[in-house]
Amino acid sequence: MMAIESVYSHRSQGAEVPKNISPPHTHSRGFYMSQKKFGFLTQDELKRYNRQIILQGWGDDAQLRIRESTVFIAGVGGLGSAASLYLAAAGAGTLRICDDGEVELSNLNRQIIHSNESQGTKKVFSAAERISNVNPHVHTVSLDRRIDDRSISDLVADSDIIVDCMDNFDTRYILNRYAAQRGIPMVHAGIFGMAGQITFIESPATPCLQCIFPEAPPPEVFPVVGATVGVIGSLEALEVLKYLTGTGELLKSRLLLFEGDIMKFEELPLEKNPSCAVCGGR
Amino acid sequence: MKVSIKYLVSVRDKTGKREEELDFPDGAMLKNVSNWLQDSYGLKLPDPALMSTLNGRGWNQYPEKMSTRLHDGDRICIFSPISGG
Repeated sequence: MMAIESVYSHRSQGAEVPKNISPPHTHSRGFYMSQKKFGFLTQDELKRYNRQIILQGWGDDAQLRIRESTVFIAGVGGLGSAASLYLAAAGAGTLRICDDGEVELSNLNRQIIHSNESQGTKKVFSAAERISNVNPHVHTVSLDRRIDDRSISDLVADSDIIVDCMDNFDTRYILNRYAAQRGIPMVHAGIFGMAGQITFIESPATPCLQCIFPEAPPPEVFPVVGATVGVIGSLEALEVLKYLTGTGELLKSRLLLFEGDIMKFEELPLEKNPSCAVCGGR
Repeated sequence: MKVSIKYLVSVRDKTGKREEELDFPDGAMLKNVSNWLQDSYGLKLPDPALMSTLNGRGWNQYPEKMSTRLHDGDRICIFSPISGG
């Protein structure tokens, strides 16, 4: 296995480490890890997560599944800021955050996980610090690496789900290929200006990303209003939480388009492409 | 026959409207829609930078491609894939 040189594993000192943690589980593959026994929530956790635990269909079991989960966050820019902060606040057990960029002044209108003081530092370290402030129970693995065909296996590792927070389709296609090969679900999202799109991919049950978008749109410097990535990144976190807990109805085979300038959502049905280069319409 | 078309995200800027319903003669095909869009809005389809769907499937997924025949009530959607993050 290729060594990951820039891994930084973070759990805040003083955080109450849950006991009775089961060994790392394999990907849940739709049964939501329901057959596993995860021990008990601590008093601190019961209080911290009370407002979601009391949600109908959630309860202690769902919260424990979130605590036992490992989520791969591909990119901690705009989408990754919102997605990882809400997943951290919701009690995700391990967040594997991956980004090889540094925090720049021009990021700060939308990348709310980073602060003015974190300019010039690596995004993954800035993000890990913020996550630990939001919720010290979360185990953060900072991956200061570029995602490519060689590194992706080590980077994703035993993650239960991939959250696509990238800003380009080339890397998204790498994520998509790996997810399709390994049967790992992936939440895809993108933004532009005041618009966004999101879908839940679980190939072969759903169209893969390349079924939906066979060709990458040309790279560009995209305008973006910070609140837009807040909306779409939050929806990504919600899809992850629904998947992990087995609650609600996932955005499978549906593309949700958000047009914030006129405040409309549009849902498009999606179909697999029988001649898809990745999943071949399996 | 009636065919509805939605123009989403940046495509809306070119058409000046979000949706419309068009009347095509029986036997019309996707290429007739494409010609109409080019004449009306300068949209040249298929375009790799745009996503064009007919009833939820990409135009290029239909075996007959641009010769795919349309039916009354068909829904077409055209939008630009969003790549930012």
